[in-house]
Amino acid sequence: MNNLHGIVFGYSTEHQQGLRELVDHRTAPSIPFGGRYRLIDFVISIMTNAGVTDIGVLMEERYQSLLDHLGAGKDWDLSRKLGGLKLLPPFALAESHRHKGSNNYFGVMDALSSVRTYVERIRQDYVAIADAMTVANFDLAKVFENHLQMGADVTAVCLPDDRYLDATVRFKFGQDGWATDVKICKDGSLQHAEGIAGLGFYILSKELLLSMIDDCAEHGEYDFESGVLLRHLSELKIGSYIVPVFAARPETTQLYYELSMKLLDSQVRRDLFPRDRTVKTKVRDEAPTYYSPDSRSKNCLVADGCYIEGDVEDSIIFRGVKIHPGAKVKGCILMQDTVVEAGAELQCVITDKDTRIKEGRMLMGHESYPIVISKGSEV
Amino acid sequence: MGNRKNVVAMILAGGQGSRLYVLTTKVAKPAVPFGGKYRIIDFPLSNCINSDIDTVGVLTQYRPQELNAYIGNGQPWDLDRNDGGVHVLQPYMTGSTGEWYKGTANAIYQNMDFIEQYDPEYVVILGGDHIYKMDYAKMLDQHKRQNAAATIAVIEVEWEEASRFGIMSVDSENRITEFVEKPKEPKSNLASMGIYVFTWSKLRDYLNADEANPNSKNDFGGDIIPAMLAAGETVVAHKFDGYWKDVGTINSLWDANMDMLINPQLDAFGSDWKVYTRNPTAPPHYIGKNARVEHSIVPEGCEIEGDVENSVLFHSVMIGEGAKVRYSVIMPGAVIDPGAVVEYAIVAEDAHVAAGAHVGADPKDTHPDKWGIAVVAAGVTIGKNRTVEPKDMIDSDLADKEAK
Repeated sequence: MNNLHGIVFGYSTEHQQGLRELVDHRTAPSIPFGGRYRLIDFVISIMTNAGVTDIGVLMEERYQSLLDHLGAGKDWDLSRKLGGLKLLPPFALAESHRHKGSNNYFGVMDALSSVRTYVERIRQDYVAIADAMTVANFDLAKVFENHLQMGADVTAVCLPDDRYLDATVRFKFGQDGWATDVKICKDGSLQHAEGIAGLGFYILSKELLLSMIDDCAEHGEYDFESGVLLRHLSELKIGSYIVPVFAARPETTQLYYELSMKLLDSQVRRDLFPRDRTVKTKVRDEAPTYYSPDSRSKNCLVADGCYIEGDVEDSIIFRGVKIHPGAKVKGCILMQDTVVEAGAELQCVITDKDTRIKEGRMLMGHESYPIVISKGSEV
Repeated sequence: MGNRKNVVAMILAGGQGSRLYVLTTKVAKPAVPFGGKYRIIDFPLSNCINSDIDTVGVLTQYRPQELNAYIGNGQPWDLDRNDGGVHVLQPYMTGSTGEWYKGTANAIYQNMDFIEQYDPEYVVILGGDHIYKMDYAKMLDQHKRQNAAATIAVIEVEWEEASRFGIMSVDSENRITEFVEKPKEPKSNLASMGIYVFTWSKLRDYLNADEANPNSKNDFGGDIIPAMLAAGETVVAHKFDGYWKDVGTINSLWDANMDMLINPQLDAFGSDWKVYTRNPTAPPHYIGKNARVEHSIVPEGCEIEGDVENSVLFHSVMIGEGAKVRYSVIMPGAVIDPGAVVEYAIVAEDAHVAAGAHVGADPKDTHPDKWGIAVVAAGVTIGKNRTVEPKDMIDSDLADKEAK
């Protein structure tokens, strides 16, 4: 048995209002990304690719689409008799751990305290905790190996380059490799601050996690970075593991758009989709995509099940999209089952699932403010 | 043991498919990739589940490893069941005896115990080498309505083609009056599709009798059906008018793939009768800045930088800048380097066509006697600047050559 357990925070922690229409019908980790994935697929695949067999996903609200997506975990080989995927919706008894009058977790430690019995029953000695909003792909097995070798209490996965991350935590490390300072800012203003950006992905022992859950509950702390890392900076050996890969956390619609377009860069695709660490997602049985004789497509990422008869350029096209003859699509993200009728023109538009752009309509957004068409709407 | 089942389907998937030559040296014909993301056996398997048949035996024999691994527990076809589901059936030893399947009927005979455990009313016998979408439930309905012992699916073929098939003559109620295998002068153009529904209690008796007959070739078309007709059993024809294509030869396999590009009848893009397959885990495909893709099928995992025209690509195919792929079938993982040309060809899994190589030719530029589909076998490398002539089948690496 792999001695590492995974816990994924399957809800949006901070700025989800910045995601506008994309989170009207779903929790942020369930936002479709990259033509066929949901954001949460990346973190779950990082874990399963490292041999993690048991993963718990904490949920908070509007998690119906997440439930539908993850199901029993079959697509990640996590539908197991022993272990596998465990979905953890908000638990009524956890009210005692929360502020009265609020339905939201105040931080990950608050969320973990509400599932303390689950944490107690973890079969493994070590736990990887991660934010489901992280889009990255690195070898977690190496991070774990390093954690054990260094004898760290906590290992923070860090990045040399955090252009697309809006890092909310930065570390300073001493000569011996242990953290000497932790800067925390939840509104992204650490963009230009000094220190190494943390990915919000940590490994620690189950024992330490349990004692920290209690410690935080007793001291009114809700957050992992401030309640655990900063509060216990002098006692804990907080190490780092730097993963030199593309990593991102799309917390606003603008960032979501920008990151999606990065997928048109072959280096970014190689970082995110290496052949030996594939990203798994829910299977939808679609025919391959068909391009008609009169279609014209350039620089685009296209999933299965599409029927392309028009022009597509610089775009991300999800499964089952239909683009009719004479339609022009440029700089767009068209989600699952979008239909663009004949002669319609779209530029810098994000269409959510099941939208239909009627014949001849013209929609023009801008890279700095892409138009979002809500799920199921007709233009 | 298990619960009783009304219908059990048996798929005959043991054939080598020797007329597919280098494409089936390592895999059985039903496991050959088809249509951009499928394998041939996906069609009968998907037809079964779409026809509400949830108990399926797949009879393998030749090179079964890849097919066994592919079918696995049957989950992609929703056939992972506690009760029923898909089972791969290999020839086996019994005590000191045991033998390979002697013929299609003998293959079923050897697996009678498998069928008996479900105690079915009807058995559906299917081949593993045709591309079609068919509702077997409709055929079963007709079988029951006409109280038949056997029902054979038939399709109208061109009269000039009829002598290649098993041909049925029928009366006004579709009862088969005569069955002739490959007649020189066909009296009808209704060809057997190799799809049978039998009332199990009847078939069991005929299989036992057939096995006892040392002169029998143990074949459904050649022995069982003629025996049933001779005994006066009700054998009826079920007419099918959809798309149906044998993919037993290189040309027909290429043709059927090209049909995927213009085939409203098979309607691969329709969602009401999906063809299920074991999906590869690959990201969406990427069409490059200088690429041109026309009238083609492209699945996930491909990276296209060159020109693709009238072609069927499979997952994770790489086509370099300036490469030209026309009227071709490019199977999973194949790599076409920048500047290479592939036309009227089948390039099998993980093959590599290096820069400057030219595989196949346009029929316009070739003498009709010399023209045919060029084939590059799985894993083979066609070196730089090499030429593969039409009709050639390359099954070992060709070394690089100096550019002319």
